[in-house]
Amino acid sequence: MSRIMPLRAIAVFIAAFLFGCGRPDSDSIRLTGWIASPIEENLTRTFIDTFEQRHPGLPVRYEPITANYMDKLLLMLATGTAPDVVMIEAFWIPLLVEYDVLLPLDGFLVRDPGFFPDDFEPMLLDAFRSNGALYGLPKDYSTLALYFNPAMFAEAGLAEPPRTWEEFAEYARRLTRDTDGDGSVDQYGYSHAEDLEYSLPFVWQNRGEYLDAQGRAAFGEPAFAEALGFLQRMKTDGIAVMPSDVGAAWNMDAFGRRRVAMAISGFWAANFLNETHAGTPYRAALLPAGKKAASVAFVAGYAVPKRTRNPDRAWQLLRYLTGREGGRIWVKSDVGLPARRSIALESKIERDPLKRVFLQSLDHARIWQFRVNQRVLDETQSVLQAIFLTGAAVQSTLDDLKRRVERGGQFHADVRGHESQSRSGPPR
Amino acid sequence: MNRSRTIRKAIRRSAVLALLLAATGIFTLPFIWSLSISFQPPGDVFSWPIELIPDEFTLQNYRRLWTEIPFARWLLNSGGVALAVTLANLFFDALAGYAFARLRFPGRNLLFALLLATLMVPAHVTLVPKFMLLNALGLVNTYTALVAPAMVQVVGIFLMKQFFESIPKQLEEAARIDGCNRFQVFWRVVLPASRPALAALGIYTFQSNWNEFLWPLVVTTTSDRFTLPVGLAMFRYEFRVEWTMLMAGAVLIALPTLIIFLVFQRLFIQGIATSGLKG
Amino acid sequence: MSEAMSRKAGPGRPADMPERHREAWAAFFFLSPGLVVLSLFVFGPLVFIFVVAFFDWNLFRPEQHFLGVANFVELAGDELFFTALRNTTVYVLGVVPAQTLLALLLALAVNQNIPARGFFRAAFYIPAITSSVVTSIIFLWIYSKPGLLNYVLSRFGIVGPDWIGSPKYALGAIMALNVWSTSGYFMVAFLAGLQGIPASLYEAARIDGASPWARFRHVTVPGLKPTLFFVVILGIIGSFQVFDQIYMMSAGGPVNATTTLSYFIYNSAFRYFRFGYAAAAAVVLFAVILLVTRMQRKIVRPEAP
Repeated sequence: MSRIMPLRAIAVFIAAFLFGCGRPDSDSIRLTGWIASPIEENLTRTFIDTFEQRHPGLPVRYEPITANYMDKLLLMLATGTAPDVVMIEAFWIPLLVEYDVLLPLDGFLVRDPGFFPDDFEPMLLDAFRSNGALYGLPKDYSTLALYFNPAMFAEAGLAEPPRTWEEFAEYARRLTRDTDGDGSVDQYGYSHAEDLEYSLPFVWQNRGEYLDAQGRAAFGEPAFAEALGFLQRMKTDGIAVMPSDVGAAWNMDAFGRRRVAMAISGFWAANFLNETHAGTPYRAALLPAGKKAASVAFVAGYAVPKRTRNPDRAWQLLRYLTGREGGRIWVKSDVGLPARRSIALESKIERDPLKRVFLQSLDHARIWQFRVNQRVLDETQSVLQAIFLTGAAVQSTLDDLKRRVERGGQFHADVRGHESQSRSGPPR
Repeated sequence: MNRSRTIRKAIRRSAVLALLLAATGIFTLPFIWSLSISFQPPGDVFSWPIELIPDEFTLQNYRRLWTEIPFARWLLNSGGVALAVTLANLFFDALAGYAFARLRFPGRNLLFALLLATLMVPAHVTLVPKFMLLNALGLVNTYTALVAPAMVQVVGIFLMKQFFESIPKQLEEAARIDGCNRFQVFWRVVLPASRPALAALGIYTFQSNWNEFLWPLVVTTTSDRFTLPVGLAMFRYEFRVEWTMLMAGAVLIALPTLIIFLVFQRLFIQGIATSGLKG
Repeated sequence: MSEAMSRKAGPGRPADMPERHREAWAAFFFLSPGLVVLSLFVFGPLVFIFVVAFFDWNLFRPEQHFLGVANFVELAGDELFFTALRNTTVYVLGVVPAQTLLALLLALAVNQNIPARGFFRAAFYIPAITSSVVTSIIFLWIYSKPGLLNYVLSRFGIVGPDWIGSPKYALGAIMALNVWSTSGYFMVAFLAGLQGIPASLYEAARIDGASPWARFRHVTVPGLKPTLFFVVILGIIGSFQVFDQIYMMSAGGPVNATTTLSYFIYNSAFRYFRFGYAAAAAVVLFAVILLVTRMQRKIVRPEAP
């Protein structure tokens, strides 16, 4: 530094940062969402352009959050700085309603008959209901299905995907091979994932539950442990792996790298495979069934935070995003199946072999939604990690979890003296 | 006798050099490798044998950084915030440092000891109240939130105080006799004579603010306010993350501080050295 | 700051404050901007943390309830909290000696009469000035199952796991990463300390016939005591703050193996939104640091020889 900058210049520069830039204009409708694919992001922007053309005087500001979406959104909701319309998974509705940060939408629906809420798949719309009111509208959904590599299947002499747990384990055994003859196994039958939602279908198929009808812990019951035990045995038998065992970031990454022949995921994985692992062949099938068939359904939609300054404008944008016209556009992004039945019919998704599988799964799927706080979920995930990564004894680990998170029959409260009303609705 | 001593010394020197070279390898190879990966095409960076020199050399990762994620915006945020914080620190830390160095007032030693004591407080202890304050002021996710808490650093005050104490008093006394008030003495006489310390403080502050992670992570919510470290950290958790792009991002974040360091190495280290080694 | 006209002291002026008062006022003006900022963002929060810890303060709920010591009682029964305490202890006890020793060895080596000292000094220092996000990303790759570390190990016939994905090794891997990245910083400190030891002391010892080892023990070590004190204290404070790598690489897992006190505080506040609970944990962290630095003072006295 040859000269010390004049005092005034420094002061102006600092003041500009402290007080200047950064205040959003309160006229725009602010919209946020996560970005599942570049196509979806582009579609969103096109969406906004057409909306602004239709509704001059209603400018929209799109503020996507690229990753760790819920962490940031929760913080924004808590500090009252959330946008006017937020993309949200139905999973979070009970918790957010309990925190009282969302605007009920029934009033808008009543005054807006041209919106056809009956057009939504009932189960998906109900996912956004809580305490009798509607707090969001669905956009698209996906269930969990079994992705498998037909080339690997053919090499192992298998024609069809497995339909039962026994077949699933048997096929995984036959698909675990040493493909390059160097003496060590490099292809495995199945990649599991440590998140609860991937073990849940097996639990439900075994007639087990994570939470019971009163919202209390049911994961200590034998049915739950049995399902996990089945999966753990596949791992200890060496026919299933966790993604990190084969150097993959997540289970579909392991599938895409052709390290495993089967993996469970949602419709969103197809985009990922097409983009990142274009050379890997894949097909999808219904999940293998245990004592009964079951799958998990994830519903994405939009909601309006309670502290929005423009509820009416927010509704305008929301109804456009989840209306019929919107549904037609979203279908093109291929991140999920349309939540509106008319759109599903129009776009003939039952003709698409991949989409058909996820559509069929909806019959025996239940919504991924628990009224339980994040700490309990994190503890559950740690326990699943212990079970799948270190081979910990299933029943005792689950009992330990139950003991740790329960206080007098209710869950580890996030507000002392105001025990979290962890009474979710009856499981569907 | 002397010959064998010399030989032993030479052997010792070569041994030390060999060890140092090996250690240098351990300390620098990770960076060199990340540079190498950043120039590889996406796809398998995981195939063995792992080669240092990429077979295929491409710039697409850097290009994609600029086009697919708001890297440019994050760069602007990091640069602007770091610059504002540095300028603020240069001014306010010097002011306070001068008071401790040259002015007598009641409670001076106690206050200084209190300031030094705060250096022992880990960032996580004050994290929650700081956030609550900014939230109560409605300043979450603003540039103010990124700049204001960092405008004054105790380390900086300490550094400037040490340096001011080493300036001969005659300069200042002469200026006082000429009729300057204390601020004029500070501004016109002491500061210009303190360029080395100011430079060291400036570089140190810029570099440490550029690398700051925890506070920007906590206080920014939308992508357009992220600083580079936060943006890249968020990007790492995207499910379509490409290692090659991540490495390219890492290289670009490290580049400015690396360049500043190599150019101003002596000043850099002097800043650390004077910030309290002598006790 | 007003650019006041120069004033001349002397008779004819209205009753002047004594010089000492003027000096104190000047100090006030010089200090106030800095003190305002520090009070708002350092002193204030430090005091406030002791208030919040006694409340039930959830960011989502409008009311806060006074709880007395209930948060602390809950902490005492929280297994995850104890896991965090244990992991932090392991971390500090592992990292601080390792990085101090390594820094000292490097400084001793670089201090020898060898060519290109500036080059070596720079090489070891660069990790210390590099963003933690950058080093985390690089080492995430190095530590991955098909990453560089396992590749090197495979040349020796050892099959390595995914280091960050193993409950057994994750904490150690992050500890090694931190020793790697901070040793250079403390090496510079030791270098300055070594260069502060007068050469005449070494001369005198050599004339007295002391062996290199004895010279080291009786000249170098005592001369480095203040620096050692500085390095250890900063090292301790720094290791209690380890967070960035955990957030970037392991998210506190797997199976909470890398959950430290700092990560516990962050999660309680910004993932579970229980600010009061997080504050109570922060108070415990503060108390632990005070205790440790006090103990350290007793062991390594800072006075120079």
